[in-house]
Amino acid sequence: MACALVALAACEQRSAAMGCNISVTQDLALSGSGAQETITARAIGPSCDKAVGLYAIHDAEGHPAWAWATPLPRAFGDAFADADEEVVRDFLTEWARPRLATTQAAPAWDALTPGQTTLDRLTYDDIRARDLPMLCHASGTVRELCVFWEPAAGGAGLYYERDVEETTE
Amino acid sequence: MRLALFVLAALALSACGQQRQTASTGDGCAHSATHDVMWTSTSARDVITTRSEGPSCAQAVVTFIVRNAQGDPLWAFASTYYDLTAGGIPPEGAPAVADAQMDEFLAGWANVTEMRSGELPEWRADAETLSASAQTFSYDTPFDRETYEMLRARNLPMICYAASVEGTQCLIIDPASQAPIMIVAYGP
Repeated sequence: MACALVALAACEQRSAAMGCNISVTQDLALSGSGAQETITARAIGPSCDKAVGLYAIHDAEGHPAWAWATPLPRAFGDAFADADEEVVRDFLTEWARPRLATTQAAPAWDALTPGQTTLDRLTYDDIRARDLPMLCHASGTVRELCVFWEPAAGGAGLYYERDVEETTE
Repeated sequence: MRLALFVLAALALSACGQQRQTASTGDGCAHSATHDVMWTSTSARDVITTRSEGPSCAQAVVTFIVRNAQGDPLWAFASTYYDLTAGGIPPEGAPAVADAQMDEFLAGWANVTEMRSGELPEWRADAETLSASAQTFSYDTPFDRETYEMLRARNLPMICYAASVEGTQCLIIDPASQAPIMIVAYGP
């Protein structure tokens, strides 16, 4: 019996050593090609209050098209100060539900403030004019970033960032 | 009785092993590397961990995470292996990526350049942008000239890491907020 208990205790320790490793996956139709993409929102860390968030989009063949990461306590604030697995799982579930739109919904170049996009004007205007599929996900408590889907390349890229208040309709 | 206990222990261990196996199913490219740096503190080293995961190494997502000595995450960056090493997304029939290739990449990525902000190029008063003031690379900074020059003059500890095939980002600890911030991104 002691042997079994020792074995189970060892198993328990190994689980604990895994820390905060929670993943939520959701299907998504971003490209509009009929293929199904997948969003994975993950928390990784020694404990949930010290976790890093990883946001990834994979195409139907399993190739990663977009990946973004941030320290969760720093980006999303006090909610993670005492976060346990349940809090983090709820957060990831919500995080994995991005807002879908097209690039024409993005502000015109002249309406952008410095730092909202890393693209040059020619590229930004071209992407907007082509009205490409776009996905916006939270990058902070009052901030989100929008990613465009480039059908010719079959990949995604950062389009622009904005304050969440601006998106409230 | 002894046999029954042995079987019980074996079952317990086997159940535990299965759990771990399930957790790693579908991740055919789980690799990592770490590197210590003296960045945010003069008394304790920060730890940089680079990691890959994916069904294959050619399809891997890679992460770059900096934690302080207490394990608090300071900075995180994610991309794809292909985007960081070749740019864009892999074409049809792209060659496989060997485990050794991934290990070498992750070790190199974690081995950041440690510098001081004073080593960054000057943003001359007559230059409209930092890039216009720099000689070798194209530089981008989120700061105005006054703030940039103040941060440069403070000669703060800085680490620089690869953020794209030819692009590098440099981080400092903001003296005001004590939080990590990117001071420049540069490339050809």
